[in-house]
Amino acid sequence: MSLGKLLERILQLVPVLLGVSLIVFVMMALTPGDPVQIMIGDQSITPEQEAELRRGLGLDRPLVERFFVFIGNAVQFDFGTSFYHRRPVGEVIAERLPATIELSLVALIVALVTAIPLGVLAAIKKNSIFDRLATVGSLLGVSLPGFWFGILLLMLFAVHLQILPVSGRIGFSSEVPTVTGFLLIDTLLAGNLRAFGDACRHILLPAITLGLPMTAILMRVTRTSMLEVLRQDYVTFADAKGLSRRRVLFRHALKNALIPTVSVAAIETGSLLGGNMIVETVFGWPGLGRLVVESIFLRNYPLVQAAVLFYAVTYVLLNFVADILYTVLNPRVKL
Amino acid sequence: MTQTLLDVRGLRTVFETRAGRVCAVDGVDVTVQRGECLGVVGESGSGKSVTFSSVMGLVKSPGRVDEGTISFDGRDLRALSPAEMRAVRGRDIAMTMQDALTALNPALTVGEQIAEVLEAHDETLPPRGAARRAAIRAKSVEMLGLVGIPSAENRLRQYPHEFSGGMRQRIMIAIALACRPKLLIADEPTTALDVTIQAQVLELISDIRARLGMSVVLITHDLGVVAEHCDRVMVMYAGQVVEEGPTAQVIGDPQHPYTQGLLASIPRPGLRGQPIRPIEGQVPDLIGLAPQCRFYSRCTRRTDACLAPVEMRAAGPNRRARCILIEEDRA
Repeated sequence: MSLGKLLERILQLVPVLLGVSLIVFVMMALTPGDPVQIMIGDQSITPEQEAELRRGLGLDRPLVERFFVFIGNAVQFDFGTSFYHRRPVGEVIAERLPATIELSLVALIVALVTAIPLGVLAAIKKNSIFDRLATVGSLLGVSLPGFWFGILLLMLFAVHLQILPVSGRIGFSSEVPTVTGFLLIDTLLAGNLRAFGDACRHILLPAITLGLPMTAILMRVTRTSMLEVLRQDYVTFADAKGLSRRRVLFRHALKNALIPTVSVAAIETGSLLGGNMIVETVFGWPGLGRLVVESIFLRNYPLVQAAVLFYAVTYVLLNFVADILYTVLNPRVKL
Repeated sequence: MTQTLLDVRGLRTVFETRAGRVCAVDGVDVTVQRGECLGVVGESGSGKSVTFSSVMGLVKSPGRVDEGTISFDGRDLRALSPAEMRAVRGRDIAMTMQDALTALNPALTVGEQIAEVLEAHDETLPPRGAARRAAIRAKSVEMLGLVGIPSAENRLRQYPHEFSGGMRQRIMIAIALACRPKLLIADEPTTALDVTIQAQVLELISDIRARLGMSVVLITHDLGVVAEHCDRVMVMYAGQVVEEGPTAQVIGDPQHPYTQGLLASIPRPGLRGQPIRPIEGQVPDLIGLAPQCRFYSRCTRRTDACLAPVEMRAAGPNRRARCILIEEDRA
């Protein structure tokens, strides 16, 4: 990867971010509901006070002006003040981010460690009962809505069997000092194994719910590419060399079959961002996704705008990571 | 130790397909003597590759070896377990494939692809550790040198796509020969190469055969290659052997009408300007074959007697052909 290519990628971000900003700005403005009215709620205030409040939030200015002010501030990494929290938006987001990243990473790991072995097994045992069950399972995995599947898991494990907690990241009794913001790491740093176990129990169901569609997709991709690779001459040649079955399957076949899987995984990680909003809401997970959902209801314009920009940057970067991984796995491709 | 290295009797390999059972190899006998080069010719679908995939135990589902015995170096290969067969493959019988570009794994370095054969079979290596790695490396370099790859030391960590077509073919041969097999099955080793490289690769195989004293089966559809490099030749048609014998005799005086047709269809410098004389017609569908001579529909000399099953007949000393026109008394 040359420096020029890297620069080109970063420059590509500029039009993407401008476009995303504009769309979010217009959509928020078009959404019925007024943040000032929501803030006032049932309290009775004079029209003067209301106008003062509106001016304080900068909502008295025309839409076009507000957009350019937002862009001007955003390039200086100033995303404004959250209407609701009365604190800088960047600060509020940074607070919630570790919970979301932690959940996404665990979901990704869950997806990879289940999807790849299942996909390989389905390919090796093509047309067997297992293969057919896996096919049906993956179809269900892609089609089941996350909120429904999440509630189902909650009802079974948290309400009925009562072996897993209903919501949150950790029990009150297991609080540990914040170091990284990732509870799975902080609990270990504190040397508190009981708290670590508690954090694991909390993250299990949301991670499974979030990772399910990805697991299903990655399994299909792995199965298909494994079947394709097993037909290749180099697999026959590896067999002709008298190598062990394991070496032929894993070193020769899987190494090539994983190229599409890894690319799709990196791109699909971006789609976890959207899934986060639903899963975090269902499981009461205090992350960015739930914050954005709440902010949309409160018409908290600055926060929604900043969060969506953050999602866009993350998505583009993940695509970039996918390209890099592709070249790492596939020696024939040079970016 | 007998002179015969490979002895295949009555081999039948079938593929179960939706359209019916395809008998890709039907009653094939093959013998390969020690140090000998046997040419196997026939057009696509004649069963020449499937015959030797069967020998190596590499026929993939939905295909399977249905009947016959495969005796190699005194062992019955069909009676071996999969693990025992793996120990034979790559060590005693090695194979090269038509196109080295697809036969070499694009994601693994050339060094690793040579090393893993040695790792799997070479019992002379030190048991473990740095000494073993050094020995594997030294042998890999030696093999690449043997097939004429310059500065082998540096090229071990390169990937197949970083080599030219001819070099890749050499690398594949180096991998096949790494454990000094008794038999090399070269499946169309030159088809994917241009003419000058073809000659080099064939010279290389002949040269190494002489040096290592191994036997070679050269699968090809190029009779010129056979004439130049093979001691004996076996002609296959529609899953059967139709003629076999010493190369010079078969090419100089072909007995089977199919062999005659093949030889007549080769363009020659002396016949410049004249149209090429192809064999008219198509290879029969291998599903639901009638018991008659399989060349019947395309044969210019067919008679009603050809509608009965035709067995191999002796056509002189060490020669056989599957045609009723051959007078048995010549044997």
